[in-house]
Amino acid sequence: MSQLQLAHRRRDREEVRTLPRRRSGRALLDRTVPYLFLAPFLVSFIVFFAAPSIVSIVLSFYRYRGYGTASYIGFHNYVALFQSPEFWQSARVTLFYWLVPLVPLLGGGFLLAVLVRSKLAKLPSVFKPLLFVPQVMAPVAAAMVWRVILSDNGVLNSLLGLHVDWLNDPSAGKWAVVLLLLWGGIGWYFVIFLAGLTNVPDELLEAAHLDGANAMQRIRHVTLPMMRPIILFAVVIDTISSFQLFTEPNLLVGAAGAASATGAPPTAAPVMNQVVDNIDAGQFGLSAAAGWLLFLAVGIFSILQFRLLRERGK
Amino acid sequence: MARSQSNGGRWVGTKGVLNLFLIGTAVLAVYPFLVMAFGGFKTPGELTTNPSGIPAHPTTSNLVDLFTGSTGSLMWRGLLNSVVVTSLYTAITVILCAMAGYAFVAYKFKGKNVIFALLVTSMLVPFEVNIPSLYLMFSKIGWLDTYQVQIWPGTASVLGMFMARQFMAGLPGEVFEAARIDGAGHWRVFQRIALPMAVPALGAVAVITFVAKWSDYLWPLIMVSSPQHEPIMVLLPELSTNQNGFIVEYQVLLAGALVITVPILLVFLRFQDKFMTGTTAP
Repeated sequence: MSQLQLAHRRRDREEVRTLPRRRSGRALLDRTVPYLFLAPFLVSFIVFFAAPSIVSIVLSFYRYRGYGTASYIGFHNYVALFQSPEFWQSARVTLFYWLVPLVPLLGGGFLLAVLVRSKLAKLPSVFKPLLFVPQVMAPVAAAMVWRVILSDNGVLNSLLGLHVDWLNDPSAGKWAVVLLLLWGGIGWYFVIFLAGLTNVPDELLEAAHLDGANAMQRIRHVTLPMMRPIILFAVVIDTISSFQLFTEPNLLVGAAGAASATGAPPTAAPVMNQVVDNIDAGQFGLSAAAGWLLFLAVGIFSILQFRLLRERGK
Repeated sequence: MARSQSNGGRWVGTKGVLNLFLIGTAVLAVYPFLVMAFGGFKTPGELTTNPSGIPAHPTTSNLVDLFTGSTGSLMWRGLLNSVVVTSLYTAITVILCAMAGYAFVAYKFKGKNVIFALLVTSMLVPFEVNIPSLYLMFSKIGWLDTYQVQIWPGTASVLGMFMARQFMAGLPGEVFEAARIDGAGHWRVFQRIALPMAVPALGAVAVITFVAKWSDYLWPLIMVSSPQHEPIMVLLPELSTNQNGFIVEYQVLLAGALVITVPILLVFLRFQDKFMTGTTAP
């Protein structure tokens, strides 16, 4: 404080001496300062995100192998992807990874949140971190552990007496990934919904209870409507993260991290593999086009979800 | 209370079932951690005969082999790379986000709302669409397979900036104003007053940034190619694929998985609330 006061007094004296020039210099500085605080962030943002986004859009209309000349080919990259069976297969696989775990993830997370929040649960503060903890394991480590759990003579088969070759059977691989996604994801939705439930006023639930609504009715007519924004948020986040899926299928199923960057067999490979494989093959235009198709799909589905969940609210 | 006495038996029954269900779910959530911890101390071959239980003859030789055997130098290098990259990246991200968030809270300036709206809108574009153009850019300027390529891109985290801004907007704004009128320089007000007050939010940004970077696989997989610069997340799975001349057994990989999980687990146990609010904040 004394330092501040000293500075204050010193400034006063200086200002008396050179008032006119100082003022304008200071005013100029004052106007520049906010931009100086923003500058490092903006430079990093422009160089590593905004500019590459624009380049990437342009790139998706060119054939470019990383050297030599780039030739403009219009929508050819997009057409080529739409005509490629591998692309459609990966799109179907990605839809599978999105839609199959969707209901168990959100429903399970919601159910757990309601239970832990209810007066029935003992020690809710213990359950919260325990149910969330799978989020903590890095996807790389989780994939390794689940390879042990799902291998031929692994944990799941030996505990349940099954003989499913989860990791190598082409029809089982996708389900193996779903199991991993369910285990890793449910705690996140649980915590999201638990936070949402604290926004549902107790008095409202109490009033419904006094009006004779049972537990199920209270959830349907009080809790769910009040939670709609959070549910919408959870659905959109789930869509975005499902479409960006890469690590889990490639390290869990098939050869897992073999010679190429993408280890998953075609039957379990997500759309992101189209982006990565085309970089490996030096097809930068195709890779960019696949990335933008991914973005378009996420955008369309997000808008649809907004429409759907909003209109039902009215 | 009255309720639980009136229809006593059924009530206690439901309560028991629900708590059992919760306990069961918690066990399922934690069990893979045990599979990893047990597996890392199993003897060769035991994973096929006893994949699910406690090791019959616990041994530390997996861990010791991994870090002192022929794979030792790779493992240490990978861990060192991960620690260097993750800490520098986290520090830079937190500083950039704090400064930018502060600019939006403490000042009025031309273009403020437009810049902010553009930044928030950009969150809709997944960074994956930029991978091909960034790969080309980095190949032209010689950044492929370096530390820089792992440290700088992504440091302009809009989510982190947003969290910093939201928190600082809740602070009494007159504090900044008063300090400035008292003659403290702009940087001084930021460093001595704003930063210390924003520690809770910046801590959450730091925790989620650290964990996300430590766990990242896709970015280094594409941009980095030599063990000299690769983080442990890329090096470890390669140990089983003969890529660097090794095919290690699975109990050894599990020991490695344990090693890369423990640091985040410690961060989680220490900063539970920051961790959970940070990773789930809209």
